[in-house]
Amino acid sequence: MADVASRPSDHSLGRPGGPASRYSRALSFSLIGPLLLLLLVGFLYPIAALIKLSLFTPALDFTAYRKIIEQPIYLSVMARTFRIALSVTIASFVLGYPVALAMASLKRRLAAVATAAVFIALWSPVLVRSYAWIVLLQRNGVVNNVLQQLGLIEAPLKLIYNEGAVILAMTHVLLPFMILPIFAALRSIPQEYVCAARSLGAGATMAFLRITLPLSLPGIFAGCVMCFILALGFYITPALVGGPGTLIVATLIGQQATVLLDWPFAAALSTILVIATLTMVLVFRKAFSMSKGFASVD
Amino acid sequence: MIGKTLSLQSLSKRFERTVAVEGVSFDIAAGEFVSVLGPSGSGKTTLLTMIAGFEAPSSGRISIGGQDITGAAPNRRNIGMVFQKYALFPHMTVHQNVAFPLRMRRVDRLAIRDRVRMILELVQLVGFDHRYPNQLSGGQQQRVAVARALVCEPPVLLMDEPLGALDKNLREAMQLEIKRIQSKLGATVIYVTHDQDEAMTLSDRVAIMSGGTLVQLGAPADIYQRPCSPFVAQFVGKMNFINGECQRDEAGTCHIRISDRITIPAPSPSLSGAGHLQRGRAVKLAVRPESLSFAPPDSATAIPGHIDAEIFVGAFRVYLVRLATIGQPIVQVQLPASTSAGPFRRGERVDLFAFKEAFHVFAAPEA
Repeated sequence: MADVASRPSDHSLGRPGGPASRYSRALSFSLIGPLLLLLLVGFLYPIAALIKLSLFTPALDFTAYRKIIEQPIYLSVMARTFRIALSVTIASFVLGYPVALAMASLKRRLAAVATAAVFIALWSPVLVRSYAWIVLLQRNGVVNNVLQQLGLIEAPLKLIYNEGAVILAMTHVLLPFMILPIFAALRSIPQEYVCAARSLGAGATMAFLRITLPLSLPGIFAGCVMCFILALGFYITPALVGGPGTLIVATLIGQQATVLLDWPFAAALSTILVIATLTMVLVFRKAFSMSKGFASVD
Repeated sequence: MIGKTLSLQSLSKRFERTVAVEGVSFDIAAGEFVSVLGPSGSGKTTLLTMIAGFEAPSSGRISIGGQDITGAAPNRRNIGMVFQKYALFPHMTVHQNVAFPLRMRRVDRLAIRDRVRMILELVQLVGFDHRYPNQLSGGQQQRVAVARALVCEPPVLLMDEPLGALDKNLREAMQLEIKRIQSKLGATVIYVTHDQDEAMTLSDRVAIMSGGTLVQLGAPADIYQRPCSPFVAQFVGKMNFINGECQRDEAGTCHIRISDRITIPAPSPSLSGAGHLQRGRAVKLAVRPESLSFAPPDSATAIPGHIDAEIFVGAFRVYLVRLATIGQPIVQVQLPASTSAGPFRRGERVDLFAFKEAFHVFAAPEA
């Protein structure tokens, strides 16, 4: 995650003689020291303990991992988790990019209003937003009532406790994590680039496709990675609006750890999730790898 | 020659509360190099953005080669533009940057290669094709920007303070470079700058803007020798102002009284603007530092004063002299460093002289 967060600001870090070079090495270390310590104690150690727990019970033993591979139910839970995370990421991008673009091109006051709207969505608790979807989508919920009163449907539709509802609610929760990095990337593109492209013969669409879109790739990368990774480990929303057919890894881990008390198995699932997450970051990074010149947006 | 004529007809741009450009009209011949010179906030950049099509004018018309383009989208104008900070696309190589306008016009691959090579030869950047903008020096980036703006042979090239980001030596080298490329291609250029030396060096004509209006348009020498207002006079080169009052003799000829005892015959009215000044009108007498001297030419009136300071500036010396005239203004006298005059003591009394043709007369603003 630290890697992801540093990506969009690459261009300012890459410049030699930037502000950072004024600090001595000792001072730099003491500045990042506390965070480093926290990560070491609160993040790396637990992960190491987790991996150990999944492999040694107490002697080296792959039972937990064999269980995941051999029982198709667990593989299908894995597959569903990735499918939902991918769908949520794509939906967030499709819905979020236009919003970020509008925010970046609006006049100052309107942009502030739009940004506030996105932030308010971000600040309201996940639990509240998930329950709101239940109120909307349930059998006697707002949507079904309206549709019935309009005479569009005879009987209430089954809108909730399925994969669609999970994707919808998770997209809603994760949308700000897509919008904000893309907005930041778009905001940092000088207006002159688009003007230059227009004067050089590019229509509005061409200027967007050739200039704005490629220059916002770091923001898209950051947004997609954040959405995807958060979606992989999402717990509350799928647990509330999902049904028995939408069991995903996070929920499964929770069950194994707290209900069935099979800690080695929960640890094995977690380890696989962590590895999958890291792999996805690298894959995304490769897929979005940009030309060298990119580090120099000025 | 790739350049065409550009004609602006009473072009105005008003924003909600402010007027950025007001009633600017001028015609530029094909292949002409015109600088737009003015202090910041004079509307020169707004003028440029209207010609480029990024801002729609509130009123007025713009035409290129006789064709009205006032309402055309920026990408349909075929105008080349060099931006202040070059605006090179950071994610594209030099080649891709220069090829961009050609690709937008769907020129075929082979032709693109040839034309990019030709234009890079012209700006002397052969072999830099695959570098990214951040791997180039400021001067090289500037050349790429010029190449990119010119590769489609635009009828008009706009340049918005293109040398502003370069240091002094490089600026001067690039000025010559721009002039060389422009005359080789016969490009029509509008060059916005706030640097008067740059405008003087490069231009066939200079347009002076102030407060959104076009104040004077003319050849550099013309503007220097015959400024039409005190603003232009002091904006282009250095200018001394001496307060005075218009007096007319029996024949109606204007004389300028600058102290109780001293009157200076006004230079020919058509040149100096003294034509329709009324008797008793307060005026400003303007004279360039290099037109003043301590040695009397024939039939010139002496203006008394005291030496205030002497400054050595390499090729010449500047003397600050406090005149014994109305308001006791301090004027600058600029003489070649090899002059025999001086050295003077501070406070020493001196007489200043100038040919009467060197004076300009402007009506002082009414109190």
